[in-house]
Amino acid sequence: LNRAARVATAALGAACGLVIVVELVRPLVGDPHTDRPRALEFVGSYALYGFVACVLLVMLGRLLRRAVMRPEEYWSDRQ
Amino acid sequence: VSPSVLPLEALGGGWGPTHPAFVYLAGALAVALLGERRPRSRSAAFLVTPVLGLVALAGLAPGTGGLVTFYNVELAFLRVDRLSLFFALVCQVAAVLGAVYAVRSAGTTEQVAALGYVGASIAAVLAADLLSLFFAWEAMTVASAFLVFARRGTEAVAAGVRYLLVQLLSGLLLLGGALLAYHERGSLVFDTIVLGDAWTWMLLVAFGIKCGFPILHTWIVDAYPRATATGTVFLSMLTTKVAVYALARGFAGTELLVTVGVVMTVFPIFYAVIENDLRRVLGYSMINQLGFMVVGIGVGTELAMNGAVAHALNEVLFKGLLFMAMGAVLLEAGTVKASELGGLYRTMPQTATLCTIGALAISAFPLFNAFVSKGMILSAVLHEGHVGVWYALLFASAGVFHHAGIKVPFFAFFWRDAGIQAREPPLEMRVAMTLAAAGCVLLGMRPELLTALLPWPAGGFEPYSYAHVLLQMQLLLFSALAFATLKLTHLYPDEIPSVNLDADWLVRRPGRMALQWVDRLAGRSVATARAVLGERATSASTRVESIFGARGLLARGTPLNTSMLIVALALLGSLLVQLVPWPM
Repeated sequence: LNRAARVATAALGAACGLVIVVELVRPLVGDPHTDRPRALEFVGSYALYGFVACVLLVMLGRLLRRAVMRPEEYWSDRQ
Repeated sequence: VSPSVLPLEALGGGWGPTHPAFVYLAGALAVALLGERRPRSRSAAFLVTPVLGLVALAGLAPGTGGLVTFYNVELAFLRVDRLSLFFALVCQVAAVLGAVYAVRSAGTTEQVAALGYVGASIAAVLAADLLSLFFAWEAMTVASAFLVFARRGTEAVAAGVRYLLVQLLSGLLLLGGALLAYHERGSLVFDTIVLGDAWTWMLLVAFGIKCGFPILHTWIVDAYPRATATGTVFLSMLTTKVAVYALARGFAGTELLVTVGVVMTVFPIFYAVIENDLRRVLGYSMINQLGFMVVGIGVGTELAMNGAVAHALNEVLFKGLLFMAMGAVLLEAGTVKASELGGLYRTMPQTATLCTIGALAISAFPLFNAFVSKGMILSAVLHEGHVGVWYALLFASAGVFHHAGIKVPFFAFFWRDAGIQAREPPLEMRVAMTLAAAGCVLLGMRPELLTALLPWPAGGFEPYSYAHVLLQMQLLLFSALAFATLKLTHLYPDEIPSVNLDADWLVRRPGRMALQWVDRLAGRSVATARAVLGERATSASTRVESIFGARGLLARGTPLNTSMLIVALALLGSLLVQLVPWPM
């Protein structure tokens, strides 16, 4: 990793920590604007959902690739 | 039952009705006539037309006009209410952005096609009956196909023909649906439609093709990456938005659309993750965004409908911006394949910054426009009790950030240095991108500007509540964390030069096999004919060849410019025919 990438990764980590801390400091319980299902009423619920969703997305994407990926000239091949 | 559109105050235009589509047709004509010989005047005409179009739009009076009798059928090609006007404005925004972007780089053909295409799109959203809608629908098809053809080369022309076939199928279904509707209810009026009879399904599929419904979507990811850099910008901003309008007008509150929309939001993100061509990634991302709009229309409450149409305008801004940025990369670096790109921020810092703004906007970061419109749709979905749908949309929201928000700018501009010598695109392209970026930020920071334009009464939705902002930031930042983790642990799929099979395989593979069979059959027939007829067969085939062959009389084409001029004249002619008994 070069320096810029290290800084970016560290900044991302810090920002992730910050949004969790903010919710701990000022909880959302009882906030009238909280539009979320019951099952997601815990601290960091959206963070967990986002992380798991993206890991799942990439893992399923890799499986999809096995099924649908073809060489670049697949359609231009006149066979 | 769909809520009724708010009444529209008079716009204060006193200079009489001029259909904006006429302005665009006149502009297309002017650009065609000026051609390559007068590039400066042509550019001026190309740039001025959208401005005049806006003036014409502002001069329209609310209500239904443009009544003409066409073969004993009453047609009304001008309906001005808040819904049609909002989408006419969407087309106008697209026209201004596209015109600035393409003013110098696009050739005459492209510019003529683009203006005709915008005019037809505006005509479509202003049409009050199904037959007028059909005329505009077909004009859009023809004009837009030239934006694909203009790239030239076998691949682009083949993709253009496939595009044309799919669009014509949509047009045929619309025409069939319109005629059946007239037969069954004695009226061509285009308004709320309740699914039931065959014609209602025909119209739904006709709109669905243009809107990228699942399985019918492949033309988007087939043709858009193969059009010219400037052409794709226009394409991405218009056809699908007109389709969203048609669905919002006709099928608001149709429960089926919720399911269709959810599928549209979810499946393309998997393809986007593994796709190598970044313009195709944006194509998949577009289907995903359209899915949000379709869900909103399916839910059909005032909040959901407002969210859906607001998202259409927002998408023109951020998706237009992203396609402009990728167009700039295509022009300057010669490719948009992720496997060949990287490190362009060093030589294209402005484009990289503007692309990143587009990426933040499409991902619905707070202070950017999609944060507001997507929030409206999600809130409406939850309020109507579609909890499962809501979870799927949240998954899709995280996925959008993953592929459009991170993947596109990351692989093009950051990542490794691919050693490509590229410069910033011409000034006007950066101006167009800056305008789009400013729009994304302005509508994100001042949502009331957008709310004032929306067709339905605005409910009590507050985008900038503590909860909404915090939860959205959690979702997005941890999605980014997932990307970083997967990339660092080498679990993220590599960018590999490849194509991914999609639903069009179901048509293209059997189609190809059928063609090969016909080819073999024809070869055998010719051989048999030669054997039986001898010399006579040869001379006859030479004569046929001289007329119908690849170099024959009928294949001697007119230049593309002339063809476009003929098309523009034909369109103008058909509109004039309708206009002869102008009643006002």
